[in-house]
Amino acid sequence: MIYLQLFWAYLKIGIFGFGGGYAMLSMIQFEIVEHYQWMTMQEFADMVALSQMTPGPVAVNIATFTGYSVGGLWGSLLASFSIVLPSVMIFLLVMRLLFKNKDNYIVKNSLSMMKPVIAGLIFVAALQMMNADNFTDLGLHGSNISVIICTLSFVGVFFLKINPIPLIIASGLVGYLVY
Amino acid sequence: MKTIIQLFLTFFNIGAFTLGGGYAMLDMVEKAVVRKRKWIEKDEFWDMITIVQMLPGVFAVNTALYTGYKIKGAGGAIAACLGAIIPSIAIILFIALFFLDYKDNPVVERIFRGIRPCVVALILSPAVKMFINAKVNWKTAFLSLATVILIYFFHVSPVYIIIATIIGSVGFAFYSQKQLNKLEK
Repeated sequence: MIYLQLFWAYLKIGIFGFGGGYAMLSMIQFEIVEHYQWMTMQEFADMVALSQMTPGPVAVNIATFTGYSVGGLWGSLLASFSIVLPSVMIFLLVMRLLFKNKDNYIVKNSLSMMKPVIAGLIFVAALQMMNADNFTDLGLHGSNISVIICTLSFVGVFFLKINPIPLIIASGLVGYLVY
Repeated sequence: MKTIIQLFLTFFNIGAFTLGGGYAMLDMVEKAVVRKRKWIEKDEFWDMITIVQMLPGVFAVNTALYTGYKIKGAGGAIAACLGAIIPSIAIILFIALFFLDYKDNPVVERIFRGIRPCVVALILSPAVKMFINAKVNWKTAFLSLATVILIYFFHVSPVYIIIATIIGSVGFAFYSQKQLNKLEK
């Protein structure tokens, strides 16, 4: 049963995963944490961090990781297979059609509303992760180290365009020293 | 057959050593298939990428599929695709094996307490970037806001929201093309 659920969850994400890795990440979060409640927001955040630090596409990494923790070796293979399968099917179906019609007005504008929606989608994923799981010292002794790490990381990645990996390592080091 | 093996190895190499996923990978793919192997022309490659970006699914996988197909047909597509994902799966399985045993270790727990708020920032950043990139006006800002409210407060699945967005966008594209045709007449 759990294999069927894994298959279905990741198949949907593979089919409707528009907007790149982070959009898919939000969809995975919804399915795995919110809908099936296979893990907590905290465990999910840990897996995102590890998936960011390892090579390869983040969505495949997360699928493999969550699949493993839900259903062991077969779960992980099934999850990564299911997230890739729609790509292969769509590829077989639309390959010719798409390249022939690439300048068609409707093809070009058929995703016009997608960007603002994806922005909202990813924003919710971040919002939902801002809970007591991930911001452990929220409100304790007036010292909000979690909030400081989050703010500084945001400044680093958004404004200073620092690569996520050194930021994750630095945050881990701060956690080790402070807590 | 030789090209198919080379395709597999090329994408395997890229999958095993590129950090940061999709877009970081593009440069390496271009370097390998356009400049080094000269399998396809540069313009042809970037034209293809423009289309691949519109497709759903993992961008790196789609890039591998279409590049592989252009170069060596269906066999090339499958070889490139497998090459792109096998390193990911192998590396993550290796890490998962250890991580699930060590995650309750006090030192690991302290490190991850620091990392978690950073992950939140890493996800917040592309949301803001996408919002700016979408050149939002009050109409499109409504779309973002509606998405946030529907998922956050009403727990509507993102899948349904994406389906509604596709229907809305295609409908709007047909409608505006009709208007354009009218104007031209």
